Amino acid sequence: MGLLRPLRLLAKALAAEDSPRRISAGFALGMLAGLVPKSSLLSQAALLLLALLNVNLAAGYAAAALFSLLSPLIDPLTHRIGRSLLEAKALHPLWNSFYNAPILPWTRFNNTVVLGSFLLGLALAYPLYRAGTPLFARYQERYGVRIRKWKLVQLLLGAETAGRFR
Amino acid sequence: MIRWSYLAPRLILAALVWGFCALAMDPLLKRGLEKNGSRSLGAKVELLRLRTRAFPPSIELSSFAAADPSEPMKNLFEFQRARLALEGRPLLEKKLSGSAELSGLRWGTPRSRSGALPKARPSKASAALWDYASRSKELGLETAPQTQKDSSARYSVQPGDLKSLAMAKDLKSAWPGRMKAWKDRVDAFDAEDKAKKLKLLVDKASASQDLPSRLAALRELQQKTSALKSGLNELKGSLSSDMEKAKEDLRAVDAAKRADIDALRSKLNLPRFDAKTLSSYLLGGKAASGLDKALRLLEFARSRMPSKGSSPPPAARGTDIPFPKERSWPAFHLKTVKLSGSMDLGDPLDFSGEIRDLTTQPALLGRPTVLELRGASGTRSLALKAVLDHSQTMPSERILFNGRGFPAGELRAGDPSSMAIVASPGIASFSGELGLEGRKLHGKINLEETGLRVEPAAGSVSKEIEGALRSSLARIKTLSASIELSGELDSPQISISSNLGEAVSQALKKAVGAELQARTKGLEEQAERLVGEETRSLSRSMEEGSGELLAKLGLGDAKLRELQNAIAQKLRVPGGGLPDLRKLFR
Repeated sequence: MGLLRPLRLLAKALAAEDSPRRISAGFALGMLAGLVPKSSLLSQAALLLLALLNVNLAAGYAAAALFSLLSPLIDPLTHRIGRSLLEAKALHPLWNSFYNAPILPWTRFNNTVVLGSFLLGLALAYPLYRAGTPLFARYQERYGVRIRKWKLVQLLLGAETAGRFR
Repeated sequence: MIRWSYLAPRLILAALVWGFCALAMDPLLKRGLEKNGSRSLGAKVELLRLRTRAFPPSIELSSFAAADPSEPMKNLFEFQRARLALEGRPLLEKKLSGSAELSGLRWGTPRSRSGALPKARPSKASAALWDYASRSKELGLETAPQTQKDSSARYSVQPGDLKSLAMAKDLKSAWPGRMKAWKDRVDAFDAEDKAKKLKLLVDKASASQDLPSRLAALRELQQKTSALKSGLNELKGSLSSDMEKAKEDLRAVDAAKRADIDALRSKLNLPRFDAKTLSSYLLGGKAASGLDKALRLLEFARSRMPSKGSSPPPAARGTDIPFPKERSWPAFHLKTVKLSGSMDLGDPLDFSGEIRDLTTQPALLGRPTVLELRGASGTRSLALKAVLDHSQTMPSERILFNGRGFPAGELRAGDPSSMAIVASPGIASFSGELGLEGRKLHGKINLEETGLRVEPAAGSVSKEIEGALRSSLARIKTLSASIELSGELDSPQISISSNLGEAVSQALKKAVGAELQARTKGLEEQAERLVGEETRSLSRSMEEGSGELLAKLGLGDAKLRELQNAIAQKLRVPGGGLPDLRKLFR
């Protein structure tokens, strides 16, 4: 049954069984995790946060997968953001202290794309959460009821319910 | 907001991941070490076991063996056990820093399976050394009887056979144009005329009583005189370097002439009996094999320890921007590696030593890597010192070694199908130095083996030659050989001289007769007559032309000095005086 859990979560998200706020929060966190290159500790931290917080995991993982694919396409933009910040003289003391601290070099914050994509992800997370909440609510109204009637979704949701009474 | 029902299973998952890492990390590291090592060395690198420990951080390697790319059934080196004690703080930055102990180190041990890699390509240095070894085997001795009977008409040199002649003619025809261009340039500059005009300006300024106008004239004179001086210097410098280039071209013609003679000799299958060629024939293969090993290790060190000028590999995405570090650790740095093992030079000899500052980032460390080994037992002794300095823009390596009193086995040198000799076991000593500055190689190795009996290998040559060889080689009780290394890392040149080569040369000359020498000398004289005529007249014309131009420029120099003196004497400003004007032109 454990193997079906991700599918059940996806079905729950599609069938609008979860609250729009949790789906939107999961999506925003997944976007952050997906944008940052995976070799950085920042991306792993975002994924860990996604797992720890009470947000919709399916929406989070779907967003992480989607933005992982899109991320290389916006490298020129994130590179420019990261470069301008890393080369800003006023910020040098901060970067120096990060660079000399333990563990932090593992985040690869001194890479232009890593820093640029992380900051872009952070900047977009809250607006995406706020904009996503009404969108997911509207989606629930329009499509949630229809998707709930799909046999496969009913099967997966039934398994979820059965699992609770076991 | 934390969902604990999620946290517990994820913590279990994290524990499982940690467990996987603990079990799989060592095999993965072992595989990575073997794979990267094999790729860099060009032969199999094998390791029986790798074990990492977190507390205290350390790595243990057991039964490491690196195969010899040139002799795949032997190990280049192997060791029984190595223990790396790592420091914790650098590890937090993914850096390995610490010290190590390595025991059971040995060289040249036999392997049960071949260590050759299917797709391994020899390096350029290796290919050049093996090419030298195979060329040195072409003695042409088997054609000697035929050559004695040939008519001398076969050995006449045609101008079309000589590439050097075409080169010399090209140079000669281009020379008048080159000289005319220089003459025009020197005439256009006309240093004498410029100096005369300046002299007039000095006279005019000295006649004036007005201090501001004298100072203005002085400033103008200073500018013009220094422009004249720098123009003269530049012209002289360019002319000298162009003349040096022309001399280099002449030297290239000379080298081409020697290559032409060699090519003619090969074409006519003329055997070569000079001591150097015979020394290369007898000892070239062994020298190439030994040097190949040393150069492979140096190339390996260069690939793994990049020098100051080398740029780091670019990041896969974006750019890594470095910041100043209060304390920087190289990605890999072993402060000391204690070494112990044994070397099989006739009999095993135990040795010990250490490596200091072994690192993958020598530029960051700023110190060279130093290896020192010593071993002695009875009359036998061995010492090795290697300094690999990659901390500067131009990497350099220097290896010094010497060994004494080693029992050497029977030596079989040469090709049994052409001519071979056998030397009985003796006591060997060696010493030498190998150096690499950038890509430039230099080195000399001296070998000596005492208590020998040398004789020709049975059945490899005719009875007449065998007899001559036997009597000549009987005089050798001590074998002395000297191997000189030069050229570039990608194209090393070896030159071998030995008393063995001299003895064999004398014997062959005596046995095969004077005809062969006469044939070779005849070829050399003909080539010299054809090419030398062109190069001599060109050289004369070069000396005369450049001398004339330099004299003309020298005259300008003399005028300039006169002018400087005139400025200093005539343009004295009353009151505070003038700075020492001569200094301005030095």
